[in-house]
Amino acid sequence: MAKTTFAKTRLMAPVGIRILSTSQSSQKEVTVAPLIEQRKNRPLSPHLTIYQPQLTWYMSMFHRVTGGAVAVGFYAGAVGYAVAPMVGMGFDAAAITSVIATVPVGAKIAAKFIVAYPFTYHCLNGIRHLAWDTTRFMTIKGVYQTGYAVLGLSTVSAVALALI
Amino acid sequence: MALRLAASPLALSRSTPSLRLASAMRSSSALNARVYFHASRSTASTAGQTSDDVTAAYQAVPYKTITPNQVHGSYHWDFERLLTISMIPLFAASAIHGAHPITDGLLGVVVPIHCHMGFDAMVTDYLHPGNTGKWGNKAVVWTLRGVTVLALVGCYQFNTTDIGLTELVKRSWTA
Repeated sequence: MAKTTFAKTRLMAPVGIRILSTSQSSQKEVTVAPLIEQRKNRPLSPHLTIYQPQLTWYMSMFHRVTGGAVAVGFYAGAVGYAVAPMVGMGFDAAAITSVIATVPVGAKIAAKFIVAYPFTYHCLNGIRHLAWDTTRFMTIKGVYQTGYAVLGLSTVSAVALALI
Repeated sequence: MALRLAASPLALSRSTPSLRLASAMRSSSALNARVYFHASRSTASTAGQTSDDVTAAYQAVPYKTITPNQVHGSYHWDFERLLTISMIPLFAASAIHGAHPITDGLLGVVVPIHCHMGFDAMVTDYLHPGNTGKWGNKAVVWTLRGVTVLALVGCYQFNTTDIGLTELVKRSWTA
């Protein structure tokens, strides 16, 4: 392209076209940083806010959210236990159980349900995912039936766990 | 569930700029083909360009050629599913039998790795080089790896010097 522009301008130089091309000789010299900055300012079309609520993607989103929540809790406990001696903070099983024992019963049951429900939902929906990976229930009907089963079972088992 | 598509070959057609753009946008949908639109001229020197030059400025260029990586293939997927399947009997044994050094030890390894793979999928989806930059993504990925190592260490220490994961859940649940 530079050659044709060069050839054109050598024969006749219309006003407004530069004689020398300023395109970069090596494509690797291009910096990508300005493009990333541009992309950050680019507006996005609405997606999650306008798509019709459906069991399929709501449950998929909830699977990820509950997985993240339980994992953050697990990591907080494990990493906290690992670094607590360095920070001088007493963080062991005895401390945890003694703190929990001081909480009133009603709050304990509510808290246990709030902790148990993401766990049971994620476990049961995880089994649903594994069933899909064996190509089972890969129909609209199958997805919805297993979906409602997971919703029901996870609620019931979370209530049961909270009442232990 | 996020599907990991195999990298599709980038075939830039040698036709008009608009078709090049279309093929670049098609190939940019492949998860592992990092296609960036690059400007062949800096934004400062846009005066006096013909429309042809401006279209050429958006010619797609692969940011990086794709080298085969085991992570991009089915081994990673297999490993993830096997790990997840193993958690079912592990949790069941833990719930039924109670504390045991072997199940607690396995839980202390399997659960952090499962969490790590989940977090890694979320990083791939929401904190990729496209919106955090190459080094932002690298920082997040390596931070996640470090935190997972800390979690593994914490689980090991808890299982060996304290009461163990299953017993902790049992005692705190009935405290």
